[in-house]
Amino acid sequence: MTLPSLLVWLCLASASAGDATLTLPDPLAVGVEQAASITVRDPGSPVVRLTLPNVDGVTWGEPQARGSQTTIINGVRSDSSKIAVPITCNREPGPLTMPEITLHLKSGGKLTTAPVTVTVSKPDPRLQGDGLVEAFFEPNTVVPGQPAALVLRVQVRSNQELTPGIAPPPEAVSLGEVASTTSTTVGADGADWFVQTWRWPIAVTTPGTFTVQGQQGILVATGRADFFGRQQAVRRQLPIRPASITVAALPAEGRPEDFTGLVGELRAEIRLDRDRIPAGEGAQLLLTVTGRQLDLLRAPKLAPPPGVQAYPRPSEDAANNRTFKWDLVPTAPGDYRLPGFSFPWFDPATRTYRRTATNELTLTVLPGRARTLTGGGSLQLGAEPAPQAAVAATLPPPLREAAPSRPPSWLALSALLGSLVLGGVLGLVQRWLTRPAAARHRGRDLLAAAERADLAGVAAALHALRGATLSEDQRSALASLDAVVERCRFGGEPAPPDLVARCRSFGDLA
Amino acid sequence: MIRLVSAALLFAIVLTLPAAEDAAWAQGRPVEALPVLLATARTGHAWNQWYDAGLCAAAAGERGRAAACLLAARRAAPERPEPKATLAVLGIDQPILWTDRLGPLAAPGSGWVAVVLAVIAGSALGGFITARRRSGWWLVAGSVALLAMAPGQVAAWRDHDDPHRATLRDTQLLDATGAPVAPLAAGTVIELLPGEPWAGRIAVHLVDGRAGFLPLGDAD
Repeated sequence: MTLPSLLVWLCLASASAGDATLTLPDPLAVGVEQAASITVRDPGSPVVRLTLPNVDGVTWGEPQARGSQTTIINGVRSDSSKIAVPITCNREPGPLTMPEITLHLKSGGKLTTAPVTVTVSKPDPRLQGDGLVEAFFEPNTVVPGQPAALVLRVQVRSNQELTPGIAPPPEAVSLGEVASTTSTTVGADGADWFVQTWRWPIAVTTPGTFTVQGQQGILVATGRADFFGRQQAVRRQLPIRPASITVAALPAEGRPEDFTGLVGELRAEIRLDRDRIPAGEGAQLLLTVTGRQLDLLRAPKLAPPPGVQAYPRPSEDAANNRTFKWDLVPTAPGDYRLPGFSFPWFDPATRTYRRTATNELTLTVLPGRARTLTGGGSLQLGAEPAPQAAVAATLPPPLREAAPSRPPSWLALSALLGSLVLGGVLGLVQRWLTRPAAARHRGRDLLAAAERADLAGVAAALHALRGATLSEDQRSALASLDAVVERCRFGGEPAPPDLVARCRSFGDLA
Repeated sequence: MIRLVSAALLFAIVLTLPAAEDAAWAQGRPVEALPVLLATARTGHAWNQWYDAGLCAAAAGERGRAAACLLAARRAAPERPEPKATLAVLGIDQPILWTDRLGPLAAPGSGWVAVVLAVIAGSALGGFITARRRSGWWLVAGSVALLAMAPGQVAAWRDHDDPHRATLRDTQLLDATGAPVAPLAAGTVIELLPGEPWAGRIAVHLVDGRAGFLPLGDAD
């Protein structure tokens, strides 16, 4: 290192003694010259010399000033400056702890940086050209319901906003939001590459092989700069190599009968809110199950010991756990052993079924303070509910088909209304049948008999008309017509041709 | 053709169902017969179906369900003595229905006698209204028949909507906050109070006069 080159910028440092921070590229690429930087804040005096540590396999270059900055906040002045130091690493990949670097000040003082640990790795030989896109599943072989992740990693030369070019297969069930992270790495030529990674947490519930593929759009610098020195960029599509996930069916061998499809480790814990209670009071039993896919978890059944009644409460869900609750009401003092719970689950790592069980608990009910609450029916709190009577032997036999028939409830009212209508109709029929006979129309009878040339009928009709109210003319015409009819009937004369016409004059007489 | 054969098979299965449920019960497995009997009672609504389901539930050791079924049989046929007798055998409190209160007055208005009286009353009154030659005896006969059947019919109509039910399982009477107040054994007779369920609970009234709430599924 040459002292004059440092003095040019180090004179910018001023004021009180400060601190120095070393920043190393992470990862540190093997065999590639990269830039480390030292940030110096408020040294109080210019830096005149650096003492760089001797680390096996690490070669330092010439330090160069990279600029300085002065800020005044609330009247307090602060100066900071940067020193760039080229560094070349030729070590085996692995962690590397860089010891402290000493900065010698013109005033005779010193500043030291804190040790920094970075990872030494070989440059990725695949990172050439415009970019690299890769997609894969982690893990790529699962069982139905086992959580997995689709990972899309895009590595490009320039930092840019990217939109993922693929999505999980439609058969997959999303287990959460996609997570996006950014980082940097070193390409084959030693240049920095920007890495953006998306991770979709998924699960597939049906066996089979599922593949995703697509294209990833990125921006690539053309190399030509515009008037202001800015580089133009064009959009390009990079193919994404297909990624597959194989979902193998759960093994049938060893599958517990109460297995509900839970995959992944399950933990369960039970506790009592109070394990010692006085008689007449209750306690609450809480069972907390922690794991994934808790939607598949069935509500366990609690088999309380004799003398304890259990009333399930609604379960409560939280992140990755579900808590089941029961209100326990003991009926008498004593120690009650509460049974444990057990849940089967499938371990993808060993591909076997395993079981998580809880321990047993003891609820102690102390004799002493008791309160009497009148219960429903003939019960009292503190007294065990009446035992079920063994009545099966005294029960009567079932009726089955021998039950006496009973009309439907609507039938009586319907019968009442129906018979009311029927009785009314019958009354109307009776009324019609007993109606008085209507009087005959004598004039029409006369005319009809005349049209039939029925002289006897004409004579009878004329006889009936004699009682009618007639004018003098009609009376004389009636007598004349009667005489003609008598002559025809008994005198042998033919019927007069105007018989009908003469009878018509009486047609209106009722 | 296939539909006809399917319908015939289904009909045959339906015809054989009662025999199957009886068989399980008769062979000492009332637990297996109970779901079928309950389904039959819920669809048929006949009192004897509820009664048989109650007997089966009692034989299966489900006291609460037995009480609920027998109360349903009582509501469906309040004049029949069998449900009352079985409830008494089981030691279950019985609500007093309108038919019980009326006693012999309700008898003419129950069963087939009520139908016969209804026909007599309707015919006599209908004929009396419309006939030409009215007889006062028709009016008397119709009125007597109508008055005879009316109490039993009204009582049966009221009893059909009787609000008494039974707890299906051992449960707790809850207060308005949902805190347990008192234990209730399965088969305890309760009276449903009018109103919609609230927070998964129904308001009930006990025979001893106290009121409270029960979880929705604990009474039927």
